[in-house]
Amino acid sequence: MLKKLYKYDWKSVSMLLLILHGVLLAYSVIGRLAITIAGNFAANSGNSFDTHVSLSTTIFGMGAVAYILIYVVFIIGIVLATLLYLAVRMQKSLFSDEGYLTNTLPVSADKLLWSKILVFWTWSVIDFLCVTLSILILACYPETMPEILDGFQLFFASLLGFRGFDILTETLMTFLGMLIQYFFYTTSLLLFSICLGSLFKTHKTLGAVVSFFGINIGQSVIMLTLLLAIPPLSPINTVVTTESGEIISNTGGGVVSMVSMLILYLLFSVVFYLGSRYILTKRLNLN
Amino acid sequence: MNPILECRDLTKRYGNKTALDQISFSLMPGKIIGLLGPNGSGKTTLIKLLNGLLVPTEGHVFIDGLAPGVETKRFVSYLPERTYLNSWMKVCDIIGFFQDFYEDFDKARAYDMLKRLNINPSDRLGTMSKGTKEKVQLILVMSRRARLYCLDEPIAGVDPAARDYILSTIIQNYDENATILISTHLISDVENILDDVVFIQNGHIRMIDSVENIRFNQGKSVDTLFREVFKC
Repeated sequence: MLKKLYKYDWKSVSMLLLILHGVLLAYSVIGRLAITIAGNFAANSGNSFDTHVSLSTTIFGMGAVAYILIYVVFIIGIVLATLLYLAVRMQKSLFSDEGYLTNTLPVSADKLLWSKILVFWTWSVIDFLCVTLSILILACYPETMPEILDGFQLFFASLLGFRGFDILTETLMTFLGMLIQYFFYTTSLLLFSICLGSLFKTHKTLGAVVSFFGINIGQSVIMLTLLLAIPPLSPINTVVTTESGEIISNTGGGVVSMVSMLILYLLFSVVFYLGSRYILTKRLNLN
Repeated sequence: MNPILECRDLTKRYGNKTALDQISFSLMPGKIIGLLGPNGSGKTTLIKLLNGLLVPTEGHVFIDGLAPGVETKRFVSYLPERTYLNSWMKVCDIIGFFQDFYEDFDKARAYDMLKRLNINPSDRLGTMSKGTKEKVQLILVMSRRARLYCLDEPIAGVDPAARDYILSTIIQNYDENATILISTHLISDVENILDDVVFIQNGHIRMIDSVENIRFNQGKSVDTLFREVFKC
């Protein structure tokens, strides 16, 4: 049943997102072609500074600035639009008129939730890959390739432990942290906020937005309080030494703090998931 | 024989407003039952509770002995009073959807009804009129071989000719052992197909009786009785 739910949830969101990401890639290819044409034009014109060439160079320059501005707005827009669209679709599917069908299907609340989560994850990965590919289309040149490859090599060398255990741990923890924070924490918080919003008598969407930001602020306060109350959890390494340089205390900033953060984020994710499940099974009120 | 539907002290409140107030009754299977009452009497609330779209404030509801949940959704076919279909889907897509999720869905029956109503399975739901969408929804709901059909105002938003079609569709496509619960306030249109009626007002059950008893013992039509009971 989860596979079937995923299939229909995927279909319901993918048309618009595929078009949006296709446009981004097409825009990147157009930019790449324009850069190539401008490069050839500059190479052919050599050092001649006649009025015609100067005007063309100015037009190319202005075009490039406009292109880059639109590109940056497009990249930020597409990432936010993807998140927002997926969240809106989740809300509509569960709590709008569509919810009358979704919530009368003979499937458990867990499957309904996991189907939404998996579609969210899939599109987040596709979104990331498309944005990365788009940047690579525009940035990969024989001159820039060595630096890009160096960057990748450095990342994978760190991740595979070729640069020492400390760096491996740090890279792994940072990587895991990002994954857990986005894929578990953000996704479950989004779902939970939507479910909480459904409990509002009116303005359910506004309720979901308020819940999302409210919980985020609450979570930040809890995290900050914990960090202040328990110094070893702090991500900032605090070293207290004597005048002679002898270390009296050395707290925070280590693996312990990173692991603690990961566990906290995971715990929050579990609480949000269970909360969403509770609302769907015990507090559902489709008005 | 176990009741197909049983309510025990069932109460539903929306804030301070009580939609259903400690109602208790049971219905036996194999009948077409009219859930009749004026607007705001609690009909839709009761049907939503049966389908697990609302959670009772107090009391219990059982469908074939089970609380509403995944199990009951397998054999309860629900037609809400609103359009719940995704507008981006084609009719054939939504038929595929129902076939995927409901084991009791009869695809051939659905296509047959579509053909009789001249609805093209390749048409997108977003391009259809409200009335056509309602017909598609009814076809989907009645194409299931369910044990309980909950039809919430199935004829409220359609023209009289379509009402006749809808009612004949309901009669022709239900199994004798199945139960149909039709919520409506358009009594005269449905009373000829009903076996039993449940009168509901202000969240209370006013009366449960068979249509035969109302006609022969009281000498009234259900419509006349309804007008007397719910006289303003």
